[in-house]
Amino acid sequence: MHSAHARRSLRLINDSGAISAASAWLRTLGDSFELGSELTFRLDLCASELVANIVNYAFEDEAPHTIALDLILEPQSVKLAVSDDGREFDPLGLPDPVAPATLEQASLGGLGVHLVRQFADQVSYERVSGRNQVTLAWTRPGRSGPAGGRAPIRRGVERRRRQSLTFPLLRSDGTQVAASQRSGQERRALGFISRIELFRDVPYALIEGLLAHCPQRDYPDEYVVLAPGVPNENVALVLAGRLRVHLDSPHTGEPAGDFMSIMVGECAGELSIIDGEPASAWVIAEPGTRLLMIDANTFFSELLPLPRVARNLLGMMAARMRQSNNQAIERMRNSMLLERLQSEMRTAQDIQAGMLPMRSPLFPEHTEIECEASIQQAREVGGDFFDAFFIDEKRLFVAIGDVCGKGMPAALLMMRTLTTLRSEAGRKQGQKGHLERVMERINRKLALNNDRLLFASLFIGLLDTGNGNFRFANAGHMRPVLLRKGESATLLKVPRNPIAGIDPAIDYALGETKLGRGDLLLLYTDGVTEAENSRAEQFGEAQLLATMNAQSGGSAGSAIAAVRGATRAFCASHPQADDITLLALKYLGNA
Amino acid sequence: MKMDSQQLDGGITLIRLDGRLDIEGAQTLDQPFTYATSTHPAKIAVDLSGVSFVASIGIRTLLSGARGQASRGGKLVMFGAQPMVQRVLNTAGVDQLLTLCPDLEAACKALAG
Repeated sequence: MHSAHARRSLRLINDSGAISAASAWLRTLGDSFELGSELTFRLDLCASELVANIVNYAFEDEAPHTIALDLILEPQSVKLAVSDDGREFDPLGLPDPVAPATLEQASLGGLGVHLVRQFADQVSYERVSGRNQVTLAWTRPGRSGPAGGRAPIRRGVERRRRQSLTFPLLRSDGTQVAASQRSGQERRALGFISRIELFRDVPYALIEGLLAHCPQRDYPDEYVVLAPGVPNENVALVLAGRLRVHLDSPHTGEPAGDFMSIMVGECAGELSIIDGEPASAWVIAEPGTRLLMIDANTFFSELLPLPRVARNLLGMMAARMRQSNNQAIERMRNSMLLERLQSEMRTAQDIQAGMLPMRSPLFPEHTEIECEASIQQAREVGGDFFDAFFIDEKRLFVAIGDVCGKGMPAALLMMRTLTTLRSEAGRKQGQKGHLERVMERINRKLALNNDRLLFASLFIGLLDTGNGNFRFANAGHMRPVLLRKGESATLLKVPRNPIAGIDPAIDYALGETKLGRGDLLLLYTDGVTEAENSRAEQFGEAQLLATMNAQSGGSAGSAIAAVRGATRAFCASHPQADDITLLALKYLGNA
Repeated sequence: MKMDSQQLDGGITLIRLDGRLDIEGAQTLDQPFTYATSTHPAKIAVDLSGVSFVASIGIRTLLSGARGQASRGGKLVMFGAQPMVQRVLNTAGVDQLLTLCPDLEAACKALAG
């Protein structure tokens, strides 16, 4: 007979024959329902122990009482309910017996209940209408469910109506079971229990026996205990040292501080034990760490059913969750800050670019000249700048410069220099001494209050488009290329003056030349001549002059395109290190 | 529950148990087993291979025999337990209190040592 559903009942009187009767009844049912020898053994053992306890301890009077046994067979489980009307007794409230260290000390109090707990998959207790009812459950062997596999019944306590111990505790021989029955060595080995958060306020005797068989591991060197994707079968309690939890691989040299610490008394691995998923992070044992490894079965069926342990675990997990929430918030805040900074940099770049005259050609209405400019920035905000504007109907002011340094400070100084340049150059001034004054004022403004020692190289010039007179001042900048019509390119002879911003009291000397029709002047920054290729060679003045020679007779626009093309070809795949800025001015004169 | 004993070479007494160590078995066994194990110092090997069931009351009988022998200055080991019986003994911690051997040979070795 192999019934999916069945129920059998037995009623016994509480005399000493009840134990054997219950045992015989279950063996008969085990055979007839083909429950197998192991499950039959378990039923037999548990019923014997429960009925023996009831017969020996449940009743104080001499009157007969009924003990009820019900065996309930379901397709995937077997349940045995044992009930009596004796004094209230919750077998789950009884602490596990402490394994005695020696034969002399061996007392067997509570052993029956201990065996029942160990040999039933689930134990639950209810006190209903004056009766104790203990229900045991097992997974039924050899039967598959509809899905092809049977749902395992989790070992441990399924349901408890009462958590308080009912005194007196029932022991089979009346002797005291005390924690003092362990040897000194075992006690030392387990002396950590009181320091472990998971076991806070849990009676020592309850867990000592459980943990005695769990191995301890020592890590003299740093060791990867868990890695993402690796199945985890243990909860690791930190007894000494520290565990680090990294979300990213710890081998990639990520900045320190981006990990969580699991300190002495805390545990790791409980999440993957609970949800059955592989580990989700790297868990590293630091040198000198000692761990107690609690296997999943012990954790679930023996530790977790202890209410105080479950509560401690929830508390620890809540704290852990809070910590990782805070970490996530901190990360989000940092990334928002970074995003804002990047967005500000982009805005700065837009503002900077917006300050430069980026038209092409620059002055289409002035047919007596061609003026073209180009800037290629190496990073988001750079230090190069240029400017070109007419200060009156026929005088064109041009400027090119490079603020030392890079990034935001250079960009701010560049903007300051540019605005100073514009306001000074635009002042209504007599022709005489105008350029000197512009240079001297810029220099003084940069030099004063220059705590951060930021300097700028600057070339400024003023072209009289009526006659081609070009007067210029140079503060430490690159000498422009002059390509006279029909001649080869040369560097413009300029007076040597220091860069702006060092000494507020420098008198800048002026240079002067006269441009003929078809002459071309190229202003540039050091990003051109110092452009490097992958062999660390620089583009240099010679190549710049050669490039310009080939432009003889060409337009301002084609000169700029040629220099840009030549530097790009020279650098090839090597990344651009500095801004490359060009301003070409060709004098055509009045036709 | 049945029990018999025989003398082996090396001064070892072999006690063979056969049946169920439940309440009835324990009651049957208590006197003869205690007599056999606790009256004089000896080297005793208890054969559990014929024991098909053991409950806590049976464990008490086994342990009292072992304890009695220990108090006489001799030694008692057990061997050959069936798997489920072995599990009960382990769960009760009996394996930590006395030597449980897989077979007679190991038991004799444990007694000789």
